[in-house]
Amino acid sequence: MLRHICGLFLMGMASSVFAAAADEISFNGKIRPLLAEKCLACHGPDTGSRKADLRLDTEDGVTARGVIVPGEADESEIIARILSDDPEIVMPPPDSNKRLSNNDKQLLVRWVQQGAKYEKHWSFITPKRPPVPSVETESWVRNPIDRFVLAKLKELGLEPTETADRATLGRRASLDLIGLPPTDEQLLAFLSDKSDVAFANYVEKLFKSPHFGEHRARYWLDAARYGDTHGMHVDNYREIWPYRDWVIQAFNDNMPFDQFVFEQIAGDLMNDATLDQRIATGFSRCNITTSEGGAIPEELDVRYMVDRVETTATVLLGLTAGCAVCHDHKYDPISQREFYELGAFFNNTTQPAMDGNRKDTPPVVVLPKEEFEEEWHQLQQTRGALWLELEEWKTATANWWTHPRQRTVHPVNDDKLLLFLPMTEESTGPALPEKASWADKHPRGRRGIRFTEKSNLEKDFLQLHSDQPLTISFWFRTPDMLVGTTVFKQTTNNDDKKPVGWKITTNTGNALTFDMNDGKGNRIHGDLPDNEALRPREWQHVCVRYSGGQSNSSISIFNAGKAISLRNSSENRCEAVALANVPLKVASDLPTGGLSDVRIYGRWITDEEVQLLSQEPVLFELLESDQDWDDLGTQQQELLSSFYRQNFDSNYRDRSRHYADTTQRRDYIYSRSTTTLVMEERPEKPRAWVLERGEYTQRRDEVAPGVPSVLPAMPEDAPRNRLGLARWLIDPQNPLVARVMINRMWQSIFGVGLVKTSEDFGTMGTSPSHPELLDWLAVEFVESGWDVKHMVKLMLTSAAYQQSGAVVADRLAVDPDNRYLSRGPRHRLDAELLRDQALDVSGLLRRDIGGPSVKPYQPGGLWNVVAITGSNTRNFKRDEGDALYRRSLYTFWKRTAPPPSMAAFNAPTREQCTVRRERTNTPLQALVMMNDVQFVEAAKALATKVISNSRDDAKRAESMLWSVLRRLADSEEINDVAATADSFREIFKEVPDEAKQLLAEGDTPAKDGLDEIELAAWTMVANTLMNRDDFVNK
Amino acid sequence: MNHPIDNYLQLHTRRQFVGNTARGLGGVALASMLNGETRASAPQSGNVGVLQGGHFPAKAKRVIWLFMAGAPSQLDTFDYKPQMDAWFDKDLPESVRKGQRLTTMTASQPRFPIAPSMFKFRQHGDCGRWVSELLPKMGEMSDDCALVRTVWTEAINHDPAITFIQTGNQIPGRPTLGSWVSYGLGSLNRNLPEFIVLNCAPRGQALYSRLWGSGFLPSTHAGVAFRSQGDPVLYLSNPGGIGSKTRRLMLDRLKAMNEQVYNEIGDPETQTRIAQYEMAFRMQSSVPDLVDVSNEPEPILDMYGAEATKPGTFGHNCLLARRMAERGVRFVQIFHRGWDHHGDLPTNIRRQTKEVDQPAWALVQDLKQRGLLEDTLVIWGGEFGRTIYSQGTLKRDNYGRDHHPKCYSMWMAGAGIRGGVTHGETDDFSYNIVRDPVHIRDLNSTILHQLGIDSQRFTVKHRGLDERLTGVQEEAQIVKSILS
Repeated sequence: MLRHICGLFLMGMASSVFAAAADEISFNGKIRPLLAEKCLACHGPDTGSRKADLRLDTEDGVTARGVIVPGEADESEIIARILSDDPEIVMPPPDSNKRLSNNDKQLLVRWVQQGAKYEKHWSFITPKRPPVPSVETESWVRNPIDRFVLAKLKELGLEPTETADRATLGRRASLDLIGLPPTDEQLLAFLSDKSDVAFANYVEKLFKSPHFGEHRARYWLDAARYGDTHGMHVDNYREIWPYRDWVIQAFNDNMPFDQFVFEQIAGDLMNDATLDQRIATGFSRCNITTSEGGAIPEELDVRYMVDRVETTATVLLGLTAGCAVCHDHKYDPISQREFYELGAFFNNTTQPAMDGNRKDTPPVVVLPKEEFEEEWHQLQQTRGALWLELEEWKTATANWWTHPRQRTVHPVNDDKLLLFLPMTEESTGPALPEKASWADKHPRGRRGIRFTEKSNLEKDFLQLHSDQPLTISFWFRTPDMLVGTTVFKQTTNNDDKKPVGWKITTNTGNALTFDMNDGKGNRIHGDLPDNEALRPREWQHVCVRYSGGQSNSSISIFNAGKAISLRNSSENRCEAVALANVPLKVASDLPTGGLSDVRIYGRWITDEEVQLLSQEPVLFELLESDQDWDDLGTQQQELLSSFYRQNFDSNYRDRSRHYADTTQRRDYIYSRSTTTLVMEERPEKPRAWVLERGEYTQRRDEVAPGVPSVLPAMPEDAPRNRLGLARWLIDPQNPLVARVMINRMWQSIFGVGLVKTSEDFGTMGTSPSHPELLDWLAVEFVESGWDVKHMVKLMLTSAAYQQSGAVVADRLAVDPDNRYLSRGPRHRLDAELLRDQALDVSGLLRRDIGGPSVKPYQPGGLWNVVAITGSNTRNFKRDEGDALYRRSLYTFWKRTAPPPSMAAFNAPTREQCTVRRERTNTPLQALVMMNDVQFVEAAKALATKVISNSRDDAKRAESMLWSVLRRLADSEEINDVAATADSFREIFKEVPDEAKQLLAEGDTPAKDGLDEIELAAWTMVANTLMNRDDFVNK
Repeated sequence: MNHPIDNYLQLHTRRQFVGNTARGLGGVALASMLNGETRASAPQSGNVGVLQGGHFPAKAKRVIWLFMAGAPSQLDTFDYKPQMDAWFDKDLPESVRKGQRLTTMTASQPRFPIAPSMFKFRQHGDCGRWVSELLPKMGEMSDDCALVRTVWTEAINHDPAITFIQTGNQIPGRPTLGSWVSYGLGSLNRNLPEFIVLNCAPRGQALYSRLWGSGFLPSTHAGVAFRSQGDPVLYLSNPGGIGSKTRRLMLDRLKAMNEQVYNEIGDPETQTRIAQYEMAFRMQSSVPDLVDVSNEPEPILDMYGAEATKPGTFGHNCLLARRMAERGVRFVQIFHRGWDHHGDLPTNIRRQTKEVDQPAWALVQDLKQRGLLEDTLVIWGGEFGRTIYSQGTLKRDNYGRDHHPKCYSMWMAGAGIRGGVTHGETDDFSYNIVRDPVHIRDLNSTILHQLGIDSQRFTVKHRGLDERLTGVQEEAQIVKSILS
């Protein structure tokens, strides 16, 4: 027994990194963890909290000051301090709540005595391929992994366990490779293949399965914090599933891992970035975002940046960089400044801080349906070229200014001006309507109309169509009271009693809405968010513009000439119809509000035209001016130039009109396309600021992008942006990325990483159980060309993997968590695997890959109970048909209320990155497996399959055992199960109604012609078997 | 070096092992020796927390937190400012606001007109506390409750603020108070979760499952959200057609099979699993028993108000909270939503206070008459306060109030709390704190203190930091004046 304990204590000491001789105290193995735990909070890397200006984690200064005299424990102050009884002198001080054990003290004494040798922390040293240990039992060894494992076992006085039986191994390997149990054919072929290479052949076939990518992707999506909602506050739907599908495809293609990383970090910045490379950058867009009314954009920008650094550092570097947000890292050599230098890489995105609660918060890429693909790309090109042309358009305006000036009635060309209501006292427009009065204050220096009560002002004009553009421009005086209003309305109910037409309304908070109904039950609308509502009790210019694209995204709203990002959380669409042929009601419910200069155009006016309309008062005043052109200010010149171009430069106007005309198709296609969130860089140089205590208001030094100095420097020629960061990450000199990745791969297969704290390779992380093996694998990974499948195959075809999972009692004592592989990997399956497995063995599973997320069964009310009114993920509406039986990685992930049956099995919320799931064992899990309709339905489906094939209880039992456990059962087990079926049968015979009720569970109806008692009894047998420990475990 | 949480998990997931088999005992003992920790004895049943009973003797065994989500106005409830009547529709002086950060909802308002509370206040109890007419019952029990008028927070929006008060950090991912308590102190019962959340009908601002999450603590310490529709605990009921006889047979057969598996594989987790299925079975009767209020005598139901028997209401949830306290549930949190009154405050707050006033009173009185109040800590309050100035239209009898983080009111009762005490003072505008500020860290620290926990010493190593509920570096004070 004692020998085992010593063995454990000496863990890691044979490594080159971890010191050489058996009785020499290793700094990395023993002393650094001890210092980190007990001393570094005050004597570590953090300059802010450092006491006595003493730093113990590096050699510098320690020896010079006599704190440590190498080889002379008696002379070293550190030793005197730790051994002192005097509370004034002893270290750690009593009020720190930290104490050194006798053993700790002895270790420090011996280490100083041996010369106090410091080492760089192991994980910051670039791995070199270590020699493969030689072992006695050559026959056990199948590949180099086994030599390392066996050497360690011998060191601990352990033996490997015998090879697992074929069926167990077949099931285990299939679950590990594709996340599903093997099919009958696969398993039978393997069981009957007597050759030496049977397992290799079996594994080879699994690698070719498209489910391989799905299974690997699932782990990555935890790390990437992928979800289908924004994650904060309103928690609306966000569309980014094409990124999820990109990850699946990348694993299926066996994309070299360095490329996989590169494209996710900087795909958008690559030369001629492909659509896929841009989609890959969704990795940095998976973070949670908000649009909460009162939020401060600068604060959110900092949050998003911090999240991106933390995620990148955790997922790729295994570093807990987040500790350095507020101050220098307490334990690891990452300064606060370095944190923000990393942050600068991610601080240059075009993404708005407020997500707008929309599914497509820019920047996004558009994935049009196949039928539109060509037209879409054509449109993009046309519009791009026109845009450039218009941007660079030069007109000699000064001439027009000096010559007798042409004037116009309107600020913009009156082409397709369908209706003009000046509504001013000076105008020749309508006389003052009833129930109205002249307003005193008006931006044009004249008087507009204020309505005292509901007005009955009506205007006949042309029939409008939902697929044609429409612009409504008007000056609006918001009412005195906070009341909802109807400003314009041309809507009626058609013969089907469905509304058809359009209207503009405001709510009690002055947020304006434009909506259009197509008479077929479809409504499209654009809404100002509450925090961008119109200013209360003021005249202001409003412009609503609709391209005719038959969708929410075809609508824009401008206030005072500024385009407001709308609260369109979903992409509603409508059909192409003729709208209501009824008079337009003006100000039908606008008491105390006012209107003037109402213009309705049958075209989509450009942003420049909106500007002119909104600046009409300034513009017309300016047109009266007799100043010289050169004496005008730049803004005035620009305004006049744009007025001139729009009205008198017919070439410009034609081009501009052409651009406008393409908008309807753009919006039409866009709203019928999938979008996905991506990264996009601003043209400026990336930068960030060191923030005092991490507070967004407390900017200190400006910093440029950079990497922590403890790690290799960025290549000289690497650009200082995400592109450079990506290059640095995948550089073989980087000591962390390959180790961290290979460790997580190991963790996914063996259950525990070689470094158990797979999220922390720093000082406070656990030391690797097999340091040389980790390095060997990391080097092999890089040298294989970052070949993921190659590495997974190495792990699976090792003898270590193929061991039986049975526990040998005295080995359990030394290796309780199986960190040393004294037995084969056997542990509880993850949430997704449990559900997928149940669907698969029952034959319900749909195996199609990719696409929008689905909503399978979940108990009612879970979204509603947390969601805010107006959230588009407030009401859970479950899918029907095939969508109920898709693999679990396609389940819709609402982050403020994640899928409940998976949450019970430790699936994370996906609010932040997770690289290691817990594996608990709770009664709530038992309830899921027994009672969740998904599992009950699976049991029913399996029972249906089994009893349809045979009438004999023993045969049925055998078949069900085979289906569930994926192995041949012995006769005793078969008899047991048959007897169990009989017991259930007896119960249901007494209460046939209960059988009926049970069979009503789940959407799949019970098969006709089957005896209900039989089916119910066997459903219970299936339910029992699907709760077995060896079903729940791999 | 083993992660402390792993040690802890090891202790717990393997606890069924202890005493079951000889080899198991050796395994656990040795594992804990190897991990450098010695424990006098591994727990035999229930769930002993990591603090093994706390740092010092506890006044509170359990906590019931009545959380008013959306942030009630302190000005219309507990922070009486009669002087404000004379200030109606006058501008909030800049000397008071001091350029403080506003939400973007009112930051652009041209002016900040003062809205005095339209509600009458009256003095109550021996302590003579002024309480709004909206809360007659809470007023009536002023001598039972300590009022803190100077709670303050740093966050100004709901999502970060409610995350902050629940977890000590505005950014999602940290354990909530209830899960810290569960982790530290473990359970008082074997058949029910340690931390239960009761949600009232959805209304107004959002909640998030993270508000009862366990963050980086083991997920067994996450709050279990009881539901008011369907099963109180997710997946609790057997599917249609499975009676208890059928379920029992299934479990017996399953147990036999799993024992067979255990004999072959020898994994102690299998034994734990067998035990957890039995626990699940016990929950199938203990939970329905817990939520079945049909045997509550009429006078008791009357105490909790007209809605006491209606699931999902605050009244019903208060009654359930008492039943949970009786059954040894360590931490109960009721979320009552709909307190975010930016506009039409008078109408809205009347509805809200009407819903909570009597049941909250009933809960405290009912606990008291059963002798449970002396070791049950009851807390009432939300995530921040509201502004003295009106958002939107201001009339004498209609106004709205924006978010205000700099001061607000909460009360506590029971478990060593000195009733009748009023702590702290705000300025005439209930805008700034004049005396005795209580940061939400201090509040949380005081709650832990009553449970026998020193918040400064209650740390968990996570990603290299000694994490605490009250922040890694921040100091937290106990609010001593409200303690007896």
